[in-house]
Amino acid sequence: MLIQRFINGLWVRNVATTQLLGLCPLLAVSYNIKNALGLAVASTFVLVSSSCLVSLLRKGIPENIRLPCFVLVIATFTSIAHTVMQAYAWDIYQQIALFVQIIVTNCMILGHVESVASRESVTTSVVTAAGTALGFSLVLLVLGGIRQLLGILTPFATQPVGSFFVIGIALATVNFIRGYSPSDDEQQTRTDSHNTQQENQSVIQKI
Amino acid sequence: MKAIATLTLLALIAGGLLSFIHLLTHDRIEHNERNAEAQVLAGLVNTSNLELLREQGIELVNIETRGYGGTMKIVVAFREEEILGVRVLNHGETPGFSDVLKPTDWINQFGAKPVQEIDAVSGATITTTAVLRVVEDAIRNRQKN
Repeated sequence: MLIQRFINGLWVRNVATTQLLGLCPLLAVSYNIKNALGLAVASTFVLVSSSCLVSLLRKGIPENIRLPCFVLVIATFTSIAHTVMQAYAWDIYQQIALFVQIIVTNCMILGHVESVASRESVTTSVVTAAGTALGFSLVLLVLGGIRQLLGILTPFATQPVGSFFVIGIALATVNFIRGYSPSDDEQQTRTDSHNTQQENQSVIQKI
Repeated sequence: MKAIATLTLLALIAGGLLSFIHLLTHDRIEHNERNAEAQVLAGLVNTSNLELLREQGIELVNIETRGYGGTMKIVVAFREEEILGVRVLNHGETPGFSDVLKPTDWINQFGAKPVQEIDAVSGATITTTAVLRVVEDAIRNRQKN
């Protein structure tokens, strides 16, 4: 079960390629593999530690102020990552400081904390967070590697514009491997709306 | 009431944790910053030792000013009345737009031609006019003294 959750985060529900979350820092930083690694480590640290802490505190946090609490926790860990990087990885810090700071607004992390960490046990949250973070890091590193290699041929790949092309091709490849086609989405939506109709009917019957 | 208590407690924990990390890393960060500043200065003068510089007739004036994204630390190097060059040691300007502050074309105009003839850079107007203003002030102060 835990392994299933881990793989879910890593591949099946990969934040970057499936949910398309957290793309801003990903696109901005992945022009070489060193910066990509820096952001990957920082994001992993923030995601895993905030999930762990929120999961520990989940029974003490009142429902109505959970979002400020989550943001406070995430902001604390982001500041820690930022400060430690400033002290021990100055070179990388100089290049990606801004993108480490905006981890705090990364919807991938808030989404994970809200949907998993605030509802499940510490072990489950941490394992799922680790899978998700590793999936995100993998995409970062692969993109960073590809862009750095392509950058040898043409500087275009390392510029911001190049990132859109590279991620577009990468997403297409991932969808191809999965055998995904847009009509899957339509079917999904149709079954969803069908379910909603049934639910509506049962509600009406209850009334 | 419980909400306020929870948030206060959480904020206290967060603050405590951050100040602890700050204590641990403070010295190293300051050391890194000083190294980086020395490196930037190295492109302008051959030593950061103020005594040795004075023997060469060079004086460094440190100025802090507000840019677009916070405080900028600027150094103006004078030999007698004339400007030798200008360097920006530390700033919080937007990445990309702050490239003009790197020791390249724009900032190297200082010392090469009169300050009045240096233009601000469009797109980085606030950043560059702040530097220009600071340098002009520094010159005025120097002529007064």
